[in-house]
Amino acid sequence: MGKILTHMTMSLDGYIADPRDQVAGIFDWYGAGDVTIETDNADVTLKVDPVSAQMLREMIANTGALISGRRLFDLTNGWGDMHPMGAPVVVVTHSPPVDAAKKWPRTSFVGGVEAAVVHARTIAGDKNVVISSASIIQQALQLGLVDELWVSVAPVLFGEGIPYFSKMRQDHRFLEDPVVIQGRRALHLKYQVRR
Amino acid sequence: MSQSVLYMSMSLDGYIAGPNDGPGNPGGDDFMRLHEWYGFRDEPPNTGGTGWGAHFMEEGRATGAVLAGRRTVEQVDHWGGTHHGVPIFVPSHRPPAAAVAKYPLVTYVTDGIESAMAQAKAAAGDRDVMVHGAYTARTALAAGVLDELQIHQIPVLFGEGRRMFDVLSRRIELEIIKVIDTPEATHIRYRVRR
Repeated sequence: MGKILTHMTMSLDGYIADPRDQVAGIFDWYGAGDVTIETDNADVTLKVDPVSAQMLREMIANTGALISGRRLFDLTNGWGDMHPMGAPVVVVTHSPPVDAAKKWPRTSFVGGVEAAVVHARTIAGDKNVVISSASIIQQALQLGLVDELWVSVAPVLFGEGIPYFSKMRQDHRFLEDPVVIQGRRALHLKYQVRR
Repeated sequence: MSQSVLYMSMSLDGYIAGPNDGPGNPGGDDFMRLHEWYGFRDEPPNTGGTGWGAHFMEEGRATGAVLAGRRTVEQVDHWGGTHHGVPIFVPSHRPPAAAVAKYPLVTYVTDGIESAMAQAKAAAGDRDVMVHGAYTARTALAAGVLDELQIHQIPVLFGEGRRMFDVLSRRIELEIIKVIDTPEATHIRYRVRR
């Protein structure tokens, strides 16, 4: 069985986008190198440094399903049904968009986080499930469903914006010593969540 | 050349203190979780440290002046008047409490962060200035007088407490100068891009 991972890029002060949902400045590392990564989405080509390229290729190869929140899905128009990571997307929402099956045939819509993880696991099989929305990651962390937390920390202080981690009611979440990958314009940290 | 450097242990979600911080509970609940990596035993914080903890303690002791926020210094009674023997500068809009007069190395600077940093750098000479305190660091960043950040990123999500960066008035670009990967903490040195 694959693992449940999360991946987000955040500024050093913990923001994943500016107040208008823009990621310029945080996502610079996706264009900061000479290694081209073609993605399954024809509109998205990445140019990254060699170590970031290796991390991305491994992530793309090992990802069997993605989980997204409804807000991110709407912002990206559902990635045109073809997420750059290639894998099918499971969207957590109580009200699927109209014509969902026609407009996004590879995408599924599930009513809750736990059910989305179960459904994504079925799709992913032996591969990993990657959660890529902050609000869903927070809920999955609270539910104890996350195996690994991957964070690409961009060397910028945004000052304001949409925070990655919200306040949590529970005790501290302990993480293991991270694997550290020093990319250009991002430090990639892979943490195992301690059980 | 003298650099001003913020040294700060921070959880992955950006907290540098737990909830309920104040005099008698400096750093708030569970503050030590963020500082275990220093390897303190039962000694007071300014004397301990093992491994990389000792390395950074030594680096801190090599600084020539301390610039620290009022909230920080009042929680620890100005470290008893001395921080590794060098002058301490406290930027504050209000004059110090009368008791501070007994600490000749402590100077309150009431005419702004630029002035406080200039005085700290003058006192430090060729050595660096150690910057303490989240609010003071943010003010120094906003004023363009903070040169480097030494973040000790601790593998824990705190969920509540006092955040390092909170709201800044503008976006600030950084460069990663050095990363030291240890089991207890990821030490990341940033330079503020001008």
